Amino acid sequence: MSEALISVRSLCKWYGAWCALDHVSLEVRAGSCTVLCGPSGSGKSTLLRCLNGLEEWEAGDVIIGGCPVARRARDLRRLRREVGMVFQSFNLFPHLDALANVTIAPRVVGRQRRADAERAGMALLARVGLADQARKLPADLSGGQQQRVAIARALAMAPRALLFDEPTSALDPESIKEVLDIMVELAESGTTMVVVTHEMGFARHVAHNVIFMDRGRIVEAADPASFFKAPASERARAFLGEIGATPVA
Amino acid sequence: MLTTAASLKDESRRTDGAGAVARRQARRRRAALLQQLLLLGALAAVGAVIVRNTVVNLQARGLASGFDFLWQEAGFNVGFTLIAADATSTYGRIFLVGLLNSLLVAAVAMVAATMLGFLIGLARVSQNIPARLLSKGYVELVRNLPLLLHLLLWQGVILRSLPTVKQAHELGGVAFLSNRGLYLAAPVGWSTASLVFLGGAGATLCIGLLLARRAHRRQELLPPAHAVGMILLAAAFIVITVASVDWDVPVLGSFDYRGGVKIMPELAALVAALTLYNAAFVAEIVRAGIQSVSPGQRQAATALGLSARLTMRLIIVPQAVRVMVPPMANQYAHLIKASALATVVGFPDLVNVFMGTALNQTGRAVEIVVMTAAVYLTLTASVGLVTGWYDRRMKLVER
Ligand SMILES: Nc1ncnc2c1ncn2[C@@H]1O[C@H](COP(=O)(O)OP(=O)(O)OP(=O)(O)O)[C@@H](O)[C@H]1O
Ligand SMILES: [Mg+2]
Repeated sequence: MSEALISVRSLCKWYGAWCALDHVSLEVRAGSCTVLCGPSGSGKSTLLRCLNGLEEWEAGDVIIGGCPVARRARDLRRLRREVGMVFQSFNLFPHLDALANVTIAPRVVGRQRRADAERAGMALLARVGLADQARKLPADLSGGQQQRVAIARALAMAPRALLFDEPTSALDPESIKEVLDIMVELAESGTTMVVVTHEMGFARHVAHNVIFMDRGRIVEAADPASFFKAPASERARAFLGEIGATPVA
Repeated sequence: MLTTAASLKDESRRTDGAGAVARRQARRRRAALLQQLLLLGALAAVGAVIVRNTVVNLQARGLASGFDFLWQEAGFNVGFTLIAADATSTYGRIFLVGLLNSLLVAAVAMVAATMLGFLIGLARVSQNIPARLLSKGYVELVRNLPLLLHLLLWQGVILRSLPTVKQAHELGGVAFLSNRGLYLAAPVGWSTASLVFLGGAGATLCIGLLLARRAHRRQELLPPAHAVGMILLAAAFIVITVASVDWDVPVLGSFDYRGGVKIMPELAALVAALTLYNAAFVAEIVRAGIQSVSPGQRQAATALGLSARLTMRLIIVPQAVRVMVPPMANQYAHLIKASALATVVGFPDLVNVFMGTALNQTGRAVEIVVMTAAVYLTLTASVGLVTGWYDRRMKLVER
């Protein structure tokens, strides 16, 4: 078993009097795919945003590749380069075309020469099946295509881990499949991933670990086979029933 | 019953042929065109009646009309001129003097208000709490007081409270500030060497800007090192030029400073009030523009490792500017018109010298009002044209 790439120890996060994360601890092995699920408002996005320093927390540690994440702006920026993020609403930069969206970070943060960055960017766009859309603006792409550009953009800094926050929730069924196919390919090629999703099919067949959260706590962490077969907690069972993921025999 | 009638009508529409639909649309278009023509005709008729009445009335009172007065001697002096003019100048030249003065005030205040407003607007949305509070205080205080009050405050209180010429504030030995105005050192002796340095500064600056522009055209995100280098070299040339020129420094005579250039207090008061007042509005436009960019944009940029400064410059501002263009055009038009308040502080702008003194002396009310109005209409229309062009260019880039 390889060592933990990301470990979180007793993380606590408050929004005023609301405890969004309550002593959350978890480990993510290098090359593994972890799915986070749970009801709305359970703190999945908050946890993900702590993992790449978009959010500050009150207590506990986040350790990436053996280094605790400090709060200094420079360390945070380095951390963010090592952890890529894909958002539910894509958040592509609307004034830049697909290729520029993918190459902006390598060019201004990674200080790569433009030609080099574009060559690498074109390869990434080809990997997500969009080599022919490189010069289109986000507004001229479909939702699924936009999310695939966003994945290529997150990959451009060659991060050690990728975080996905409900990457398919804003998409129609056909686009969902496009995006999931890419994610499956990434997982199979050994990318370390933490995915918040309601796509239980993905969790069942691709994830190595499933973590179920409720009200800021990790209620259950298991491998997908046992999680879907027999959830240990009543709440996880209720949740699976609600989203229609019936236990398979 | 109503629903039946409606559905029947729907039915008939659906069973109509495509030709009938086209015919109906054409008929509607013709009706709309006719309406517009009738409205235009009515407006023209009203306008004609007003003009005719005015001309008849003026002639009945024995007042002359026509534009011949523009070639007559005006016989009065203007306190501040950008081109040579004296009491023997014609009214035409007085018009030009006033026009240039108005343009000077509007242009300086426009640039200064934009720069100051941008800084205050950025402070409004910064993470720094004192900066945020200070800028908010500034905006709320300044934009909620009438512009007239600002003008009177600057002219009557702030400039009057400056020391007399004898005790003028000295600013670095090259500028002197007193209640008679601001005296600045002016360059006089241009040696060959200093001219060469000046040429060098101009050339390197042009090359630097061209390089930066070419990089921008090629969608380079940051200006390349050689462009930055050229601009730094230009800055060095400027420093050498300044050092190598002979400066005419104002010296205190028995009554007043002599030498250098003098900026009259009326001009300073007008520009200061217009700048500070409009900067508050520009700041609000900038703030609204920045806040209109969705928070997801900042998150995405931050998640990619972009620093706060680069995020602002490469992601937020380019998107905010698009939202800012139309209200900025309004603000500029407002500023140009507001510069006509120069009369209040006694600065000889177009309205003051031409619609004031010149009109009083010649009595050519219609001609002078029409000329002055034409100037302001042209100025505000050109602001509209330029910003409209910029807006379309932006739209073309984004769609
Ligand atoms: N900026 C904020 N200020 C105050 N409360 C917040 C803030 N962001 C999140 N919260 C609260 O923290 C809790 C966890 O939010 P989070 O977005 O992590 O939930 P989630 O599990 O991602 O839910 P969803 O499935 O709806 O995305 C919620 O109750 C939310 O109301
Ligand atoms: Mg969420």
